[in-house]
Amino acid sequence: MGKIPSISQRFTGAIQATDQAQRISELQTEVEKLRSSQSPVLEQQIETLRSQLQEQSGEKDIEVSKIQANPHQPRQTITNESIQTIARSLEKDGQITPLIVIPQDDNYLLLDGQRRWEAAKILGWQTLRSVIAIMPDDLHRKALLTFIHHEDLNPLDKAEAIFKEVADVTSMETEEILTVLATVLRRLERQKQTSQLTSLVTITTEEQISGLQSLGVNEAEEKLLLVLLGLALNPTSVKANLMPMLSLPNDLKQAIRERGLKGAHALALSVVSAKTLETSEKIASKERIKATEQVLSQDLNVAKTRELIAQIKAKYIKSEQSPSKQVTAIQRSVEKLSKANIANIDSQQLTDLRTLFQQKLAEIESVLEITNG
Amino acid sequence: MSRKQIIIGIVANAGGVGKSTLAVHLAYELSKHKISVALIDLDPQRALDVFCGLPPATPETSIVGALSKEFTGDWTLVPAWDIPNIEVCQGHPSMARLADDLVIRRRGEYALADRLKSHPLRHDVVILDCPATMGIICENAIAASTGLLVPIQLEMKSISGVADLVEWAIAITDDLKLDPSPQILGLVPSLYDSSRAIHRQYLQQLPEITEQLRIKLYPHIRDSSEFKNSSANGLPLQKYRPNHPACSDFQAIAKDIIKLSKG
Repeated sequence: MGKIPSISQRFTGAIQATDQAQRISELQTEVEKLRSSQSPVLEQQIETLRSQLQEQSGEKDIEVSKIQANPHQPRQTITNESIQTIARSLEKDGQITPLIVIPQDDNYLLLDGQRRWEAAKILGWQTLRSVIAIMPDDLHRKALLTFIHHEDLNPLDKAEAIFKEVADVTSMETEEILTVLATVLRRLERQKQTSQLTSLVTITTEEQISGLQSLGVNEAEEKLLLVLLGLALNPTSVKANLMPMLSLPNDLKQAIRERGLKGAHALALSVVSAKTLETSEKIASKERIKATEQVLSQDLNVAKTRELIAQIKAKYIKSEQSPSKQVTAIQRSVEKLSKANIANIDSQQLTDLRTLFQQKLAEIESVLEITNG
Repeated sequence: MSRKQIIIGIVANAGGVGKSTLAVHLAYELSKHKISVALIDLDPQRALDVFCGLPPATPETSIVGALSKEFTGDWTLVPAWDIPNIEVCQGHPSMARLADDLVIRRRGEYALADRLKSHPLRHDVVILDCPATMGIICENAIAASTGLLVPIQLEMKSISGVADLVEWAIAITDDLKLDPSPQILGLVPSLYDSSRAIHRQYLQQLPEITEQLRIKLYPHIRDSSEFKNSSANGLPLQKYRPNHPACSDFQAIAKDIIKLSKG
């Protein structure tokens, strides 16, 4: 009997995937640790708030099922492992610190204690001790300021948090905010006043207001720009770098949130869409997810990511893109007509050739005009 | 504190490697320890009907009914081998068609998980017997499971299938954002015939691989024609030949699941 092939190399892919999954969960834990250690201001703020509230209103047992996650919580990355850890501690020692919740209709919005809440659900607990707060007017803003100037907050969380703040202050819908911002920036660009706007970022609010007035912006535009400037953000870069995050497909949003995909990569990958590939949503998203996977696993830079995307595009829109062999052959023949051998050609033949070239040139130009609109 | 329900998906990426054999014998072993078990047959080939000696179900009284949009919450469950603590939700061939429907249904991958959440079964352990393909039915099983068991026959076809399956399962748990994500509780070498050189050799190579995969390797289940004889009679081996040595091959797995169930 001959040698039986070994089975170990069959598992190379599976082992890689296992290692990768392990690495990702380690990194998530790390990110979370970093984030909590890097935002002492927020932690401290919540601590103060909690003690104030405990004194004033006391605590109350609230049904776990009536508590809802805060969708605007800037910290969106919470790993399963950390929840499990909290669950074990809850089970062993009981609940030590109360949650902070805000009444909302019949339910409660969770302000602090997301992981304790998740853990309680796993444990099947019915109620959690909570203190009930009234939403402090500026808590979101303070939390936001702490967060948006952190390098490690991903651009998507940042974009959503900022647009939420703008919506709160201006009472405009997201759609409207996007339109107003795009319009005013386009106009300022046309008037070559973009750099004046940028110079407003670092000055006081009063100076910002008079600066904006001298730029001739209308009331809605001024309100919106003031919020951004007030958060020390450059409106031009908000439009270029953060606005597009909001309209990313969900798989890319998830990749940003949970796998640490960078904003620039996500924008590049968003080109892989049903529209550009001229195919179905399903196929396009499959391709996009596959490409995202590759970008993450091979840690591709933006240029390499774009190359990858060009390859995917080429796969779908072949017919139009590949150069015609016939044209290449003709090009080569024409190039062979050197000055020296033209001199030796009979003048009638040269005249005919010139007529032919002129005629073809006209035809080529008319075709190019149509395709270039 | 109440017991936590354990949902075990039995998955393999090759046919005839002993999924249903594992499902029914594990169920029987668990019932001996006063653990109640629901067996759900997700395979359109409905092998559990044979193993449990049951007459075919109609689509409405099978898992197809439970996953249909018209489901009202009444699971149709049939006791197996007259043991009240083991009940079967039978399979049906039209599951194949339902699978196509799930692909386009909203939350199609979570159909089973959603059912088991909104209309929970009373049993301590639920065992899902899956078809041998990596499609939407298996995605449903993974989304609903708390843990997975992977039978592996010690031949190249099954082994390659398992390699692909492990990789796929990791990708799926990530895609579906399962939280907590079901772990692979272990590989179960099945249909082991010690008289075959290839079986002996591959069994020897497996521990090194499972260690790298960080997956437990269970003791093997031996091949025996008595398994075929007992299933032909619609019985588990433990009932058909209670003194057969292979009866003890399921104990290690049952022990782990009992431990999980009792938390």
